[in-house]
Amino acid sequence: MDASEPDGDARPLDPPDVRAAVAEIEREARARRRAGEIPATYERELDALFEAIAPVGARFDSVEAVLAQTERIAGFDVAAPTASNIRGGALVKRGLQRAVGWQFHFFAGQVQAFAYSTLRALRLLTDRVVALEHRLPITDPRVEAVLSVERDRLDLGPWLDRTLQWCAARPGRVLHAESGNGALVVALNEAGIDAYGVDPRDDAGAVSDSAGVETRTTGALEHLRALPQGALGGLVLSGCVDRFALGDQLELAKHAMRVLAPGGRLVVLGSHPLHWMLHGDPVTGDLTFGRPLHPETWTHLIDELGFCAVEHHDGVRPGFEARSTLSPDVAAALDAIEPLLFPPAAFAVIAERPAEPNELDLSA
Amino acid sequence: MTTSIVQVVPSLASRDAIGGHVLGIDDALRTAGVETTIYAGHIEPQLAERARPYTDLARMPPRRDRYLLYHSSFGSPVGEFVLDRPEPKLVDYHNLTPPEYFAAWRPEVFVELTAGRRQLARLAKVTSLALADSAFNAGELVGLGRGGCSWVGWRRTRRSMMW
Repeated sequence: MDASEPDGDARPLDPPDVRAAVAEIEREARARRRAGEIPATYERELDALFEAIAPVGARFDSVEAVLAQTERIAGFDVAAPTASNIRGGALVKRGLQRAVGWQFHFFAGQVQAFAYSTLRALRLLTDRVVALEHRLPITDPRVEAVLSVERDRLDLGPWLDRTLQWCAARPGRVLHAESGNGALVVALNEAGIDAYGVDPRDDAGAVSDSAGVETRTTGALEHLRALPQGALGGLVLSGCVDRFALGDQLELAKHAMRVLAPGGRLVVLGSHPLHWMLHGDPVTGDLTFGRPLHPETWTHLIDELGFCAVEHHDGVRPGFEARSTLSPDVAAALDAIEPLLFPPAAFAVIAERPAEPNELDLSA
Repeated sequence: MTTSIVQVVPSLASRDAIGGHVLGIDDALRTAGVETTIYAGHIEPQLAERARPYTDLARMPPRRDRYLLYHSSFGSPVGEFVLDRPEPKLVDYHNLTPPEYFAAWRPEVFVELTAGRRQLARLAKVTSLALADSAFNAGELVGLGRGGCSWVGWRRTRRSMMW
């Protein structure tokens, strides 16, 4: 089934919450240990057996722990077990081992040297990556730990009518990512435009139920990656373009080019970064990983990707009043500083996917 | 003092071959006037009155005239409790599927079965008597270093045959 096609009556099952399942298992294991049901030596034996056969990294989710596990199993033991259930089998095995053991030692030595060299390189690389992560706010887990406030989403109300016009008569369904309270999706459907939304909020499903529209609880990028080429007639991006880190914003733009059918419309509704910095919560502004891009940047990106008919529309911009009472010099000075003091709250960048796009390399 | 035989099994269920075997032995021992008890890891609710939790083994005072008969069919912490006891031990081996069949598909079962084989090997060395329900299983015990092993056909009654 095409990921952009309407849902049927059957709702897909929610993906299992692996972390909750693991937490429940850990709780039961702790309870059984406290009750004395599991001897510590037996549990250690089970862990060692599992580690011996589990894929490297199955038990751990940190690169340091996986490396440590790999280093533990990197040593080769050329003395294979010689026990046998068959009468005389052990004797034969020991004889064979003595006969060809010198050859296995020769090969094992080389393989072991290669393994240790590779592990050493991995260890050095891991140390550098960990150091980088601690220096870049975008991935620093210490920042994520103190970031608890989510900024308010952009009010799309002033953009509804124009977005309806921009998305009318497009060759396919229109996707709004991220659809938030579903207002735009409702308006699009009421205007006769087949539209649906995606939003990562846990209550996105409830929003769609109450609004009577199709909304899927998933992230914008996760959904776009799953769409086949040319699946959409229109793509409206909002919310995510104010929040995503730079790399994810670039990926959004590339996927927009890929998933839109020829003649499809891209609409980016974003907060103006100056307004975002001046009027938003300063703590969140300092600590959040992503931030909105300037409309000029979106225009540049979209143009570079091969979109055509690129347009930039600013939202309402407040400004100084009573210009008529001012002298021309003062008015001119105000004209120069007004955009800095009163940037528009939001902007729209729209574009159309041409019939013959440039070749697109999404592997980078 | 009267000789006592304590049966220990990882799981006791009524509609289960090993469970039926254990209950059958229990009935036979009682009929013969032998003091006997069953300790189990998991006890089916309907059999709650016929068995005690295996963790109670740790609190049981040692007795020279008590034998522990452990039913081995897979790895279980219950086996560790038996190994820790000072009483003379007997093992009734019901067969452990070779673990390598499960390594690629069910690693947790592989781990259980491998641990079970190791447990069986330790038990085989400290038991006074080993029982098996087939010559094949008896051969496995001999291979693990258990010198003398008797194989005894399972006791089947009309009740144990009913599903």
